[in-house]
Amino acid sequence: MNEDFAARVDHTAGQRSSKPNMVDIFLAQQPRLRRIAAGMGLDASDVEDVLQDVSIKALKGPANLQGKEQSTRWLIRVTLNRCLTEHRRRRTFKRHTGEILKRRSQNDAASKPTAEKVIQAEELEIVRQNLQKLDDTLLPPLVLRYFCDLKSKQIGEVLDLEASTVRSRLRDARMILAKKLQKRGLEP
Amino acid sequence: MKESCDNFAEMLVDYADGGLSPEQSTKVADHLSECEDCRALLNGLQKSLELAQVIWEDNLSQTTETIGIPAPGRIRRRSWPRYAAAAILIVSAISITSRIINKPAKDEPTFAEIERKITEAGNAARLLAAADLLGAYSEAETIVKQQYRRIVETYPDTSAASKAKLQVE
Repeated sequence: MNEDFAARVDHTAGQRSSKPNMVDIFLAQQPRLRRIAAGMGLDASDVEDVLQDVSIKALKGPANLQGKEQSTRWLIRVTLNRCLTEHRRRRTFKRHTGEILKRRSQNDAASKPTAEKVIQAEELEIVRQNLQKLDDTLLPPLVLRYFCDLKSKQIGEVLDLEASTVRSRLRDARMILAKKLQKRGLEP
Repeated sequence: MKESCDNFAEMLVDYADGGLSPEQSTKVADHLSECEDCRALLNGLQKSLELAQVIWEDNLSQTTETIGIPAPGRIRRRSWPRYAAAAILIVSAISITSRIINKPAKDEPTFAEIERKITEAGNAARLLAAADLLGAYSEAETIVKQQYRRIVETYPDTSAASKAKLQVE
């Protein structure tokens, strides 16, 4: 699914037009913007709020945007910034681990043995809590890279960062999550 | 973790993602075969990413299943529809509370039901206000129609849905 998603991004990003219709671009990009907002940890109603705000901003969009590529980047940036405002304002990734696992087991016909589920629940909770605590500079690249399958260069263009800085932030974020998980594993 | 591990830790994320050159990969693989700490860290990197993806996917599925129903007690933040929604909420709350106080019959709805209806009415009014405002822009026709349909489908029992229905038809 992620590969298709990335292909769509590349496809739309490659098309250029001198006068982009922001509403059309917004509608075309809506699934991706929704994915980003969900990856940033917002709950369903916050995601709807964010998308609504972004749609209004798209209508009033800056006149200096050139082509679909630039407009798409602008939409992603606006969505991320709006998500970060929510992220600072309230606790994100609110859904409890128990609920996530329950839903997964309902959807997963070949569910795992109970002991394995308990271990996974603890680990899932650690990751959930640490995603919640992740710095504003680390969460967006992580979501764009591993949930939206964008490359470091593309992420850099959206966030106005060098690709090397993006890679460094991705390493930092991954290390934080991995070490927290490892630390829990070492505790008695 | 050994001192030399610090040099490899830098490369472990790229190794896990398959982003290293063949030479670098071989170097890291050689080190991993000898170092239990780095193997554990690599395992942590892979596992934490898998779990993060579970959380993200779950959150995404929630957003596509539920549309705009806020948590109980939640305060909406946008200013322009907030006042309209707040007014409706206050009037509804006073009216319903008054009914509860005056007629505590057995078939009255529960407080949770009332709270849900108030929330839904407020939500629908907020979305309707947004759609009406967007309606002023001819380019937004598709979004606005989408929004009216969403109100009708998601909050069918509200007065905002009746108004939205007129716009859809």
